[in-house]
Amino acid sequence: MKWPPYSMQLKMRSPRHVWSIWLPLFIIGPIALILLLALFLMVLPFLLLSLLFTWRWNWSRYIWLGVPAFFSILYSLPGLKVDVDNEEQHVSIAFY
Amino acid sequence: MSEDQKKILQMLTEGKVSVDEAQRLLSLTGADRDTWDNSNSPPPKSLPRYLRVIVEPKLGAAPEHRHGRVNVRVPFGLIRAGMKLATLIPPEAADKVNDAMKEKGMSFDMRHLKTEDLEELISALHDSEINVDTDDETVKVYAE
Repeated sequence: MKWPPYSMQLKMRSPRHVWSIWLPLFIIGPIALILLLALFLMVLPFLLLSLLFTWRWNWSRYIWLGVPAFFSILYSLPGLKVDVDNEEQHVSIAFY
Repeated sequence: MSEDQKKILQMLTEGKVSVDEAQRLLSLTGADRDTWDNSNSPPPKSLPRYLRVIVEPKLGAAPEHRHGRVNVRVPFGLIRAGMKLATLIPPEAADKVNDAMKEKGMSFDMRHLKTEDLEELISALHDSEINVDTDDETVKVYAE
């Protein structure tokens, strides 16, 4: 069974700064979801109006199908790791 | 099949022994052991889950050609999800992406990308890996 990422680690190093942050997505995720839901409800009337006006151009299809595609990507994120560095800078992002 | 096993099956067809007795006799001759050996054969390799891309610059490379080190691990599930998203890209936007990629020397139509192509790539990478060795860097692409 697929689950969304429960944590994210971000590391950056530059000649001036070195920092590393661990984001507990399992805490931030539900809060963000509630905020997104609230935002969605607020923009829903405008969204429906835009869908109505763009119905002829089939844009509504992309908007509605984009939501499950977004969640599909979100649930596939665990395991993604990007690590790039050169002599001066280093960036690392990892989802667990 | 050994001679003993053939003889037992012959006796079964002639009705000299019952099915249960034949089964018991076959187990004594090692027929079951053959089955056991087959079941203990190494399991088929599990499908790889991640695509790894590693770029390592060479120490002796000229400074102007020296690029950074890259180590990327991408879950195949994410690539599959991304391909689904790519089908939702409006044609006008897809044309722009295609043009931008053509400028970079990659000439293909992203609307024609199929999930089957990815599965083919995964199965190909399952058995092999891509190694590119230049004067400046080494690039390794494999599945794990």
